[in-house]
Amino acid sequence: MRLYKRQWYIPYLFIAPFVLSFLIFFVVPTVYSFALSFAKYPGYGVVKWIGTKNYYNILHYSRFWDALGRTMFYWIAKFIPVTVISFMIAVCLKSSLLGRISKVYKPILFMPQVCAVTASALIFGLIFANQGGVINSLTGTTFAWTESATWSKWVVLLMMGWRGVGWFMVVYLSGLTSINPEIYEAARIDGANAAQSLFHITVPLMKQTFLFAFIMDAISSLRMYTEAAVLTGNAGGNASAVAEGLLNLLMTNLNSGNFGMACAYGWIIFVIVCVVSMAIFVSMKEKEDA
Amino acid sequence: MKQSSLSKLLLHCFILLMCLLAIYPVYIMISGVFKTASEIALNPGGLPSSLSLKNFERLWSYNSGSILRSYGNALFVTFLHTALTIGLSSMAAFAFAKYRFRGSKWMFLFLMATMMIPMELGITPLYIMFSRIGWLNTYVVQIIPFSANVFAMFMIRQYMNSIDNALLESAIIDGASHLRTFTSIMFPCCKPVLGATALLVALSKFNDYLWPKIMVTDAAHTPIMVILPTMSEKTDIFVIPKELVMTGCAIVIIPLIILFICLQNVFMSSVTIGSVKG
Repeated sequence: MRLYKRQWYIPYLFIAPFVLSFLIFFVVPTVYSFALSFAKYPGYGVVKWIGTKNYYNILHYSRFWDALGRTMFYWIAKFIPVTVISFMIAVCLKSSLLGRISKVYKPILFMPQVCAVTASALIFGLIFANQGGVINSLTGTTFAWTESATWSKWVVLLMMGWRGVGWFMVVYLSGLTSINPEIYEAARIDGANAAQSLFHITVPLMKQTFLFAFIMDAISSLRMYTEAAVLTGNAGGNASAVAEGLLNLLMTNLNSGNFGMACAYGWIIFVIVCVVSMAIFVSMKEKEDA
Repeated sequence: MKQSSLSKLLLHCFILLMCLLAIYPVYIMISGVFKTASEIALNPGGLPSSLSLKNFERLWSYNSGSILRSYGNALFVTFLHTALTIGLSSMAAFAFAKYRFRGSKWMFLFLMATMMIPMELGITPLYIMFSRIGWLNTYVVQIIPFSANVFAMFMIRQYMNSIDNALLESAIIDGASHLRTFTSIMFPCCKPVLGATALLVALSKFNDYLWPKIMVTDAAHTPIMVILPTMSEKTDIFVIPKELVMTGCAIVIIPLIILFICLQNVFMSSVTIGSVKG
């Protein structure tokens, strides 16, 4: 506003509290963590500089690669089925065939996303519990789902998928809304049937939306923590080694006072997030240009 | 026409099946609330035999009332954190939306760019920092950090941009101070966006597990989300009180679902803004 010109400091006063809080709780710790990732520091005594040894150790640690592989599994093995299902749901809800009742379906389908992660994990814990669990009582077995090396990650995946469908559904619904209905009208006049207009109009036009969902899902999968920690966790709150993601490893190091190592994990996660989102973005861009 | 009614039926079946799958775990939780320990062990998936609310009573007194206390902690922390975040963010948003000042452009861009950086990077230094100044196991550590919420600031600024400058200028001509213009003119004008942002900030605070898990270990200050999983830990009790765990889940999930039914649009808009994916 021009009227304020004489008192130049006014806007700075307005942003000062925000910037101060931002500097203290975000910028300073982030910079400090970069420095600390090159050090060995147990929380007392002196900070010992050890160069890139933290990174070296992590990259030569099989548990890191296991966790990274599992994270990729959580991401891809969830994204594909969940996208197919929620895209189908979105198309159904959008179509005029369902009528007004789709207003009732939509919130029901979104509801899992509203349920707090911690509580959802506990409910899934009961469903898959080895003694008195829902699945085991149905099948009459006492299989320890959440402790099994092969199955615990599927339980975590199922829960992430259950919570995810509502999220993807809303994303795809908003993507569908942005498509001009006249295109369908034109296709219909040209004699295209429903399946043809779905695969030749809707899917190509939704590319940007799929890309958005894929990147957002990659970031959130790489940073997943609570699901594995609560569902498969032990008393210390660390996830079981057969289901943990990258962030669980960071927390394990933080809990045991390996602060330099924990910082290094943080930066590795950050770099992976950047690389993955860039790679998806670039590859999709190239496809579009071709 | 016959084919169309068949496909209509198929669509309904598909959507209904999906709805059932979405509801099923919630049903398991609610049926668990009304069951006794032996009932849940024998028949975890079935309907409860009676609708007694005894589990709630037991939950209140469980572990000398720690559940009720932690619920209060969570609400208290969520309320203050949200109020602080909205205060700081709306002030900054006001400056970015309505003033031209040196550095405003690059500062804003810088803040936007930092949204890419995950908060986990700073978590270790913050832990060291808070342990030094004695903030671990307090309410303060749950309230003050991350009150500079860039996403909230951005959302509020977008809305403020659309408000007519003439309104503010007329206030100044009438002799209102800068702060007065903000509190009496801008703040009431932005009520819809402030409400929506506050809800999203409050939800992510209330549902947060990671931050209080690291920073708070003392039971007196722990929010409910951290207490709930400890109920099923096998260290202190060998038999997990599953019916109480389900009751505990119900007291956090049911209010969230009621809130969601009332404010569906705000909940769903959070998705497309691309901020929170929990």
